[in-house]
Amino acid sequence: MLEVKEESRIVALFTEALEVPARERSAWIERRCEDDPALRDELDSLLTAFERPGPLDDLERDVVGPLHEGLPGVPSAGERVGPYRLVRAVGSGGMGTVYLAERDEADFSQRVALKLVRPGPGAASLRDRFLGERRILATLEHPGIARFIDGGFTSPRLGEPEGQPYIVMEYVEGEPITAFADRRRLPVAERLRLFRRVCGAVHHAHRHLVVHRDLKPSNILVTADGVPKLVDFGVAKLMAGHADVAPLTRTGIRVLTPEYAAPELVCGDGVTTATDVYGLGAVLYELLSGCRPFELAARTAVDVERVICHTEPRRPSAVVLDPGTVMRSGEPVPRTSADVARDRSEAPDRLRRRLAGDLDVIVMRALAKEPSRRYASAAALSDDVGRHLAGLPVEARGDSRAYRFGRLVRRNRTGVAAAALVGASLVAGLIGTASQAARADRAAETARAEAAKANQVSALVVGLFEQADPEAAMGDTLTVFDLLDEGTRRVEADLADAPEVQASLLGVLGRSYLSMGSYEPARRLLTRADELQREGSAEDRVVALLDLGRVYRETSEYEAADSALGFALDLAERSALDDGEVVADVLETLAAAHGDRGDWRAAEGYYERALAARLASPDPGGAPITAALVGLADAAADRGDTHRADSLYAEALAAARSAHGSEHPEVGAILYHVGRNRLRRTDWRGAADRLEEALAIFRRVYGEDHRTTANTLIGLAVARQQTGAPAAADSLYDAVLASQRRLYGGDHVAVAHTLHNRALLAAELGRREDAIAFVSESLAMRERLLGPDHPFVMASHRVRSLVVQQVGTSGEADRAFAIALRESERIMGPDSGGLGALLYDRGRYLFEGGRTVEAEPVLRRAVAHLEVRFGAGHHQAALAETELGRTLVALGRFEEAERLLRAAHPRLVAAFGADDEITVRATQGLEELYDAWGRPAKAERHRPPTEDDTDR
Amino acid sequence: MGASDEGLTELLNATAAGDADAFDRAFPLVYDALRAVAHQRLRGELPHHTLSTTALVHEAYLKLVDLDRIQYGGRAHFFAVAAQAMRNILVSHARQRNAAKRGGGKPDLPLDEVVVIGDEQSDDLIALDDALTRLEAMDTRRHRVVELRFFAGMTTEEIAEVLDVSPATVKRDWNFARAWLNRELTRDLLEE
Repeated sequence: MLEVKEESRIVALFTEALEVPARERSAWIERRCEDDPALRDELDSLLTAFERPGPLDDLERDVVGPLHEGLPGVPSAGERVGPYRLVRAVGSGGMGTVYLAERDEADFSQRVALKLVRPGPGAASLRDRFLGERRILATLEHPGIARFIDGGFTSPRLGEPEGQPYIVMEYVEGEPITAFADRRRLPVAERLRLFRRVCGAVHHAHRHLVVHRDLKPSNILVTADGVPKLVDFGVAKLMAGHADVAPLTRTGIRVLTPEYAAPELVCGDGVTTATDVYGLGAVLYELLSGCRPFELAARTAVDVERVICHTEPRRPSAVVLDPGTVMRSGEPVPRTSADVARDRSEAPDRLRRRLAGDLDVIVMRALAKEPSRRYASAAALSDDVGRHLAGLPVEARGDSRAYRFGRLVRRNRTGVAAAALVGASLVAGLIGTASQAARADRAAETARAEAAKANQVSALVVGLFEQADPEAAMGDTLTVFDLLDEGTRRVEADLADAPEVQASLLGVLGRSYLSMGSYEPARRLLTRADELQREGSAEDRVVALLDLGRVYRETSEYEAADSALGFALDLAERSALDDGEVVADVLETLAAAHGDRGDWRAAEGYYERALAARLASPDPGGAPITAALVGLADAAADRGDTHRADSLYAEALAAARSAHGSEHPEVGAILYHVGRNRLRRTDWRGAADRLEEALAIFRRVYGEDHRTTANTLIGLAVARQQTGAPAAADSLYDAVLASQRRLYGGDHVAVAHTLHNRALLAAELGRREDAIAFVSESLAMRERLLGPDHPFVMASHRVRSLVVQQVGTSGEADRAFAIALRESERIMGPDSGGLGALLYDRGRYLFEGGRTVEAEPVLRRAVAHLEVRFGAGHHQAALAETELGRTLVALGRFEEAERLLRAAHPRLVAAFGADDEITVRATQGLEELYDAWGRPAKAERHRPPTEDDTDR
Repeated sequence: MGASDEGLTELLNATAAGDADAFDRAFPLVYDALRAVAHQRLRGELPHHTLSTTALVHEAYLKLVDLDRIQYGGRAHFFAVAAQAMRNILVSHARQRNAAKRGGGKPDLPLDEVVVIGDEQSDDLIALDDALTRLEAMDTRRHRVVELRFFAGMTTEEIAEVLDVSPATVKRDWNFARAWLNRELTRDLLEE
């Protein structure tokens, strides 16, 4: 205890401190108490206590406050209010005091309930609305609703110059519905039937545009003969002008009975009939489980808001097994599952099973936080309960998955990007890739969007998944594309006035389309997102440009990709963007785009910069750095610097091994990558060794039935196929397919990929029937899963054509090619670069078959397509030029053949090396040319082995 | 009921007129009335709306006071008396409840059905009672402000009238007392 003198000084300082703005307060205290730390501590602790609700406030709210309800201006028993004589006060609620009153007629006296409204600052404005509303209330005639009889104002008196408003209603002798049901130990079905009668009454009122707003068991009284009657209908609305109804005030919450109040009441949003659907849901929750959705005793106002608006209640079936302590009349009453079950004439476990499923879902739907997610009406709720009673499927089931997802989004209110992240990873989950996760994580970190945006996003995503639910879609299975299309439609239509949110969601959707290989919508959405982000922050714009660059790269529009990515890089540098990870993403995409075109030197340069950016980021380490190292190694290997590549791979491996040990999947992933790169370099044995090593790790870590294990097996099968062990390869494919079918079921994109590869192997082994069967199955599966316009479908057509060319008759091959060409033209457009490979295969086939006249135009077209795609002079075009040259040799057109072959040859040497099979074909072509042309001297130069090959 | 309506009304009027004795004489009347209401509640039916809150003080007021004859300010003084009565009733209820809990039996108290107090709240109330006693030793007026506002639910203006000070003073007293009590209660409860 402090000395008196000291104490009065503290009081003075405390009072003064309250006048100081909160921001400046601690500095102020430091100044005033600099020589007296004890005083400062004392003052500090008092001010802290002042700022926060404490035990005193809790007591006031929970114990003392309720005692003070209805204090001022209370008339006494026997007093007259209008034509009514007050008999006695029978209750007091948040809005006033209820009396039993009588109206004396000639030969009988009518007993009524008279509610005298507590006067408050809003009382004057109340008058007009009160008079209007009571006319509407007077029209409510329903056996389940306590009749509204009268309403008016008391005579003016001391302190009440306007008089006090009062409402007169039918006096109901009954008990609250929950007490009634428990006392009679009504089983669940009986409770449900009783509840449906309540719904009927509520629905009747709604049709007359009256909302109750305060539905709770104590407002639903059941008479001795079992008739439920709603009391206080419309009273809350009448009182809405009352000052105490202001949301989020303590009194406001008390007025609204927080345990049953809908979120929109607490948060101050609009009240609709959906508010009553929520109230009915809360009553049903308690009828079924014996507990309220939330127990809010001893909570602060902020807590109450948080719980009501953001916390999901436990499912009733879970509650009945663990009812815990329930608050009854403010009193904690410990209850067991046996108590609850006994009141329902059930055993606890049977009760749980009775509630699990339909009833849980029905209740939770009625209690949805967003009004639009609830049942559309009290009648719809009643109907669903009726369906459940009749053993029919309930409507609510269709909503539950979407709803739970929506809650998930809501809980993560970190902003729009976080919500978008959930959407993205869910979409990604549906299509079996998680490639966006790292990006979205970063977006989440940088998000500063407020909760309102998150709500828009969550509403949208929830709506989407409602669509995706097969039951909600009436049995039609919606594809991911339908989902994305619907999402796009909604984003474009609903978010036009929220460009930031729109841009960020268009980005999510665009990336999803991209990962699905749906380039047209991806490009459209990402272009639009980029346009919207021009107004946004530099960082958002860089991300949008990065997405756009990825689309262009995938569609082989490399100039556009270079320009988008280059601009992203400039912008990042100009605005000193400190997010090295995004910059590294841009650089890696640029590197990949250059690698695609065979510009490996440039690719290597970009990978180096990307690696530097990743190493410089504040939290370097882990997978992105390893990935950058591996990308750099790939580029070096592609450029032909195998020495550097191997040392980079070794560096990545060493880093991963020292970080995680040599058994870690990241080590396996690097080994897998090295193996794949060896495959590309046609170092089949090196590939097989690395892949075996990777496989051993994956088998230990992931087991046999895992995506990564299966992918490694595929790589190994390809290597075995090439190392002269096609039978071993075939049995590997068998194992892969068996495990993929266990993993994914029959139909899956990964299964289609494996079948695709296996068809090529079977063709090589000369197993004609198998080859055609595999490729046809793969094609059909891809068409089914990806839609007919997907590039993979085109690739399947191409491989089908290739396989049939190898193992079929020429008639079959011609037909297969015709189909492949038609489909590819349809998918890619007739002038797209994407047709080059198909035309090249076909031309080569025709040339090998001696059909040189037919081969010529096909190969010319192949060259043109490849030049469109890769640029004139690219080594990919050189492949087709070589075949065209050889065709022209056969046709006797030596000059053009010479020009083509001599132009192609050095490019092939540079790209593949002099000994590669492809280069050898070109060398052979030149040899044939000069032989046929009658220039043996020149021919000799190309005949291996030669010592003085000037063309090289 | 031991007191006549007229008796209390007059005592309250006298209290309003500044008669300190009248307050002391009114106290047992109010206290008894509050207890009587509690007993009646326990025995009687609650036929209409179940009461989620209980207007104990107000009902006692209805029964005891003749509205037509009470002078301006008398109502406020009634509540001033009632505040002490309420404190007394609530705290003794809480103590008995805790004693009964320690003894293992269920408290058989008339207030059980009316003034609903949980275990935690019982502890808080007892701690508050002790802290209020300490506060009273520091400053009587501040202690009165808390009683009137907390136990009788009076407004700042009503308290100012009863204590014959300015509303601003009442507000300052309350701000400090509330912070002080919250801090003391938090400390007390943590020490347990």
